[in-house]
Formats: sequence, C-alpha cells, structure tokens
Amino acid sequence: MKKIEFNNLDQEMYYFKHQSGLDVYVVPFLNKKNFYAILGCKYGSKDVEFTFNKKEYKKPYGIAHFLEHKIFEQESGLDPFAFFAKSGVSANASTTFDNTRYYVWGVNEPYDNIDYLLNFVYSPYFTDENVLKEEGIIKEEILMYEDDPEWALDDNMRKNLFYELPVREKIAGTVDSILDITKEDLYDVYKAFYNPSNMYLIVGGNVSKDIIYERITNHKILNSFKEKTKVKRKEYLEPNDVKEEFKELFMNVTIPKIRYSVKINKEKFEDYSDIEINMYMGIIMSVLFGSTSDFKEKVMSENLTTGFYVEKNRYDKFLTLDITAESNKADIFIDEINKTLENIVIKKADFERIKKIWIASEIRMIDNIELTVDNIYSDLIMYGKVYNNRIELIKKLNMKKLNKFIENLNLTNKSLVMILPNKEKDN
Amino acid sequence: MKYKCIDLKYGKLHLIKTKKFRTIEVKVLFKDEIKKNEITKRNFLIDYLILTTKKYNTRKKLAIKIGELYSLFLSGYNTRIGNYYVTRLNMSLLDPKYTESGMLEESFDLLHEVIFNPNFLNNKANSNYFNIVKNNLKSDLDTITENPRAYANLRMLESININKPYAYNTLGYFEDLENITEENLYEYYQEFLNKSLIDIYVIGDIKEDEIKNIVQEKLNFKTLKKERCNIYITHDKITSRARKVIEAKDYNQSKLSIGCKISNLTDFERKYVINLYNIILGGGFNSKFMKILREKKSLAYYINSSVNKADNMLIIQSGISYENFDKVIRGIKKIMKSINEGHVSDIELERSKIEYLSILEETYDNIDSIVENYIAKDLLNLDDYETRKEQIENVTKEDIINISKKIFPSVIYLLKGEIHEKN
Repeated sequence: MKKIEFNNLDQEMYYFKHQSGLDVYVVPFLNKKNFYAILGCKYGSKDVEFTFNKKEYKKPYGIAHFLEHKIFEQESGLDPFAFFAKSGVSANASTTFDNTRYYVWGVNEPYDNIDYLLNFVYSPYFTDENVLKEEGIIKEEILMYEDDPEWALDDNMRKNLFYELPVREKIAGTVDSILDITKEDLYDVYKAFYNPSNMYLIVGGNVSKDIIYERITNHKILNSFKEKTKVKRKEYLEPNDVKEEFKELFMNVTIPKIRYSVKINKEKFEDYSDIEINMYMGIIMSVLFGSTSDFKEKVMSENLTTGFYVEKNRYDKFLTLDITAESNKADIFIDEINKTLENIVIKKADFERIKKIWIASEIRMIDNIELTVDNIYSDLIMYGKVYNNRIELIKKLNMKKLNKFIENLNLTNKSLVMILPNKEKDN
Repeated sequence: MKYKCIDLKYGKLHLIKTKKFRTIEVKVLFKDEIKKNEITKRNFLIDYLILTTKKYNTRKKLAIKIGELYSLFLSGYNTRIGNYYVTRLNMSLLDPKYTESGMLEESFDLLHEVIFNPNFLNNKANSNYFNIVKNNLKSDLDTITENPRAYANLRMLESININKPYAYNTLGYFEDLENITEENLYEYYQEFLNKSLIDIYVIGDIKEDEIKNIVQEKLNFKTLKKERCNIYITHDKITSRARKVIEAKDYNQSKLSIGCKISNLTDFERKYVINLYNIILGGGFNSKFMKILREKKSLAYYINSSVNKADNMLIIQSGISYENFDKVIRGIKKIMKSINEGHVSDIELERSKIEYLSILEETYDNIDSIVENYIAKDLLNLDDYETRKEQIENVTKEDIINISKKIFPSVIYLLKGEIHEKN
C-alpha cells in the first residue's frame, strides 16, 4: 500500500492494486461518521463500437446506461437496495459518455457494504424478462430529459459539433434504440468492459485503510478474475471543424435559450499537460466571463440576458468551451461573446486573484468526503492518475505559459443552437 | 460539538463549536409571517442586497473584495416554511488558521456592509442594479413552466386552496413586480430591517467571546423580539374524496402531483411517525412506491412522496405516460389503502428506522446540514439529536397504521404532456 499526502493539508490517501488489476484508493477521514465508495468503470455511452476477443461489435445506442440499470438485477432475486437498506446505506449509479459508476454512502457497516458493492456489480444476471421490464422505466427517464431545455441544447450541440464521434448520441439512447437491446448484448459489453482491470474503487470517510486492504485482497469474486481483458475501442477520424454552425428548434420555453460552443483540438497544445490545458482554459473562462468580468457587467446591465453560464467539456481529443444563456436579444448577446473572444488580454492581477480563489476551494474541498472522492474519481477518468498536489500546480501557473496558451487558441471554430418558444414556430 | 444560545437585545445568537471543519459558517435569519403581496418585494430586496453595497458599488468591486477574503461564499435567499417567510443571509469563510489573521473581522465587516450599508443613494436604489434584479425576477416568472415538475406541484397546491400560504408562488407575482420602484424598495428595506425576528447562527472552530463581541459590534440590529405567529398551517376542511384536475401543455412526459392533507397529528406523530410513514410509502429507493410501481410494474422512472411538516401536507410526485395515468392512480391508492389495512411488515418498519437514523447521522459530516438541523429544530420545535435517536425507536406498527388514517388525498393533479401522445 502506498501512502500519498494531499496538498499538505493533513489528509492522507492510500493506493494499492488488487491482483485482478483493480486500482484501489482509500482516503480515511478521522473525524467523520460517513463513508462513500465509488466503483467506476471506464465504459460509457460512446463505447458502442469495439473489438473484443478478435470479434467486432456494434451495439445499440444507450446500452451502457441500460446496462447500468440492469447491473442491479441479481440471480437470487435479492434487490441490492434492500441489502444496503439493512444498514441504512444508500446506493445509486450513473452513466456518462466515458464512464459508469456505482456508489454507496452511509454511516453503518462500511466494509460489508463495500464488499457487497463489488458483489452485485460483479454478478450479472440478465434475462429476456428483466430486460423487457426495464424498457418502460428507461423510456420514462428519456422522456423526462426531453422536456428539459438545457438537455436539448446539449444534445443538439453535440450533433452540431461532431461528424463521427458517438458522443453525438444521447447517453440514454432514444426511446427506439433501447428496444433493440437484448440480454446477449448486455453480456457482450459486460464481459468486454466490466473487468476489474478497466475499473477503479475509491473509498473515503470513516474507514480503516488496513481493513479495506484486507477485505479487498480476500474478496472472493474479485479473486476469481484471472484474465485482464483487452478491448480495442473503435477510433474515429473526427475533423477539426464543426459539422453544423447553426441549429434552431422549438420547445415549450418562454424566453429563448442559446448554446454557443467552440470546438478546440487539444493536440495544438503539445507543451501542456492535460491538467494544465484544463487549468489555463479555466483561468481564461473566469476572467472573460466570471463575476468580475466586463462581459458580465455589460450583458446584465444592458439586459442582454437574464442568466448565463460557461463550462468546458472534453470529448476524445477535443475540448469545448460552452456558453449557455437565456436571452430575448440573442443576436446582440452573441455579438458580445464574439467580441470578447476576439481579443483576449488577461491582467496579472486578475490571474493572481483567480489562483487565490482556486487554492481556497482546494482547502474547502478536503472537508467534504463526497467531493474528495469524486475528484479522485474524475482525475482517474480524465487523466488516468490522481493529482494530490493541486495547490502546487495552481501556484506554478504563470503568465508566460498563459499568454502562449492564448496565442495558440483558435476560438473561431464555433457553433450555435437556439431554442425558441413553440408559439414562434408558425410565424 | 457544543451548542450555546445567547440572548441578544434583538434576537438570539446560536453558537455551535466544532473542530471538524476548515470553514466557519454564519447565517443571519430574518423571520416574518408570510404575506402574499410581500413575497416579490422581499425576493427583490434580498437579490438587490447581495449584488452590490454602498462601498462596493459595482458587481466587480464586490466580487474582487470577496476574492480578497479567500473566496468568501455569500448568498441570500428566502424560503417559505409554513406560515413564515424566512430570509437567510449566509456567509462561509475559510477558518483564518488556513488563511491569515483578521479575516474573521474582515468577513463580518463585509456582512455588515451588505446588511446595513446597501447601495441606496438619496433614498433610491441604483437604477442599473435595480433593473438587473427586476429582469432576473421577471425571467424567473416567465420561465415557470419550463420546469414541469415544479410547475405541476404549484398548480396542484393552488388547486387545493389558492388562498393558503402553501399555494403562494415564492417566485413572486408579475403585478407586484411591476409595482416595485427604486424609491419604495428603499422604504421596504427599512421596514424589513425593523420588523423581522432575527436569529444568528455561527458554526466552526470558534471562540464564544470573540464571536459574541464581533456580532454585537458588526450586526447591531435595532429590532425588538416579539410574538410569533403559529408556523404550522392547519386545514379548514377535509373531504373524503380527492378531486382530479387535469391540464395540458406541450411536454413529452406527463407530471403527476398529488397533495394529501395531514390532520390532527399528535406531537409524537408529527415529530417521528410521519417520517417513518413517508419512508415506507414513497420516501426512498426501498419504498412501496418504488418497489411496486417502478420495479414491478415499470410505470415510472421516479415516483416518490415527501412530507412538509409545517404545511401538514404529504406530496406524491411522478413522471408518467398519460396512457398509464389510471393505472398509476389505482396503484397509489391501493398501496395507501394496504398500509391503512395493516400491511406493514416488521422488516419495513425496522428499515425505515435505520434509514431515518442514517439520514440523521449523515448530516453531521456537513457543516451546512448541522446548522440547518438546528434551524429546523428551532423553527418547528423539534427534539434535539440525542432525543430523536431514542424516540424513533418507540414508533410501532400500530402508529404507522393509525397515522395512515390521518392522511387524505385532496387533489390529484396531472400536467398532461401532449407531444408524445400526438406521435
């Protein structure tokens, strides 16, 4: 077991690799009552085409999310939620484009519950009946999201941005695509991706690292995995430009919604690590659009929007800068974004202020079990390693690298999605 | 953890000392009886207060100051709790151990600026920021139907009794918004400061004397303590048959919202039994609703119930396909009736207790939940942590069956989604 310090904030983390290939991280908190554990798999909605055991597969869209629902099915008929409820522990799961996670949190019996988390995820049981049963539930889930304008912006923007990448499709698939999923499909993807060597276990909270180590090392089902699987995901030749520059749709909204996205190929920043790219991009976004920005002052004062937010996302080797807004004067608002992105100048004082704010939030983060565990998990998914020294990294960010980053940044490769009120459809 | 309550001239100072966190949190509560025509004004004022101050008179200046205080978190909002409208001004700062000495005073200085030196000049609000707040509130009202779940819930409550506080729209009202001016906002600010009942909560690794002195110096309110109205809403009449209300809008999914009146609870039922009843019925992944209506019958992705103690109301919500409406309603009624007839197993009761205790304990790792627990305890006159742990064990199966006879579905509201049905 390897001991790792966190940002010199009196918080330790431990790491070991189980013989099955499962990477295990443990963060014992001395003064907490709760525990929180994630068992995550590097398999998400984008992984529909792949080669496994020399065979090529193409699976229906939405299968990773469907599988996530069906993992809770057990041959014994026992419901995992009922097992956790015995000790008042909660569980849930979620699927994104590139990963699926199962998690438990609560106060009582952490070791038995974490054991069981592994048991149920590693005991698939799919039948024609239980697959059929899930279709109704997932259909309602898909319809629920279809009424949400922000999901609609997101779903349509990915279709605008990308030609080839499967992230064009919704995570949950469509009401039609899920009807094609069979139990055989589920076993195929399960065998290919749900191997411990393609997964992570992260545990935080009121736990002893030694007991976790002992329980995981002696875990029966985990020890039965003898072979590490080799899956080759299909690679896509994705052009650098955006597929569509504009799309307009109509929904039950009162104020129009817009999503403005820029597609950026990360390969242009070869001198920067992935986390540096994220951090410099984050600085730029905060300065240009954050609470102290001239942009925000202007668009709020001139009533060009009643609310907007800025995010960055990553899809494969691409980074996107995404601005979402509600606006009755979308044209002028978009002009303002264009002007802001045309000529980026960042003052040293703003740069240093944001670094200070980020350092403060690192200290806040370590008070919170969920945030700490979630951050470790997202580091592993995003970077394949855990950054335990973020405060150092933030301190090392400098103006010279920032300015060079800005020079390399092409923000003209953009697309726009607009949602207009239904009543304007016929005009 | 150590709790102490100190009486101040104008209200109470609640100190919670704990070494578990690296932050200090301060909440100033202003409590008043809710009045429908005051909701919009009060929302307006709170948004205006935290946007700028007289000293930091642009958003940018205030944001820079907040950054200098090591990214202080400052927020303000209103919530309705029963007959009360409660304003919170919250501040969360890093424990100065992790930043620099003097940060505690400086943070309280800023809170003082926000409350006592707002951005009013010549008894008038600043036009620019006045308009920003107005536009935001207007858009909140404009977009109310964009969240179908919340909208269905509001329409359901309005259908029960539009004159009761539970049916007030806490986003406010258009006509009230139009009547707010730069001048009368200032008048309302003074009224607000002078009439609210004030409680201040401070939690963290704090020193009692230090906090007491800072609070007395920086938060020197002039109001006087006074009588409260009853926070609990009671129902005038209860009918045995639920009314169905169906409205249609262009959504993909239909949203179901059922309001059940709760009547004549004993103190023990209100504090404990109702929580367990709700957990068993629809309060979580192991509820009867989830097990039967989702897992067995595949009728919904989510279907849950929740209790609002101050409103004496139990609310059931789900997203369904319209063609399943009757099936879902029959299913819900059947489940509620089965509890009424005694179908609650020992295991269900036992697990609901474990879940209750687990939720209670979970809150103790989160600084904000700890304060919120104290606030709820004070407002609703609940028991303390230790008493709750003991008392919950005393709930019996008979208690659950008895309370089920005090819950009356009043309105079954469906916001019918029309898009999907057309296809």
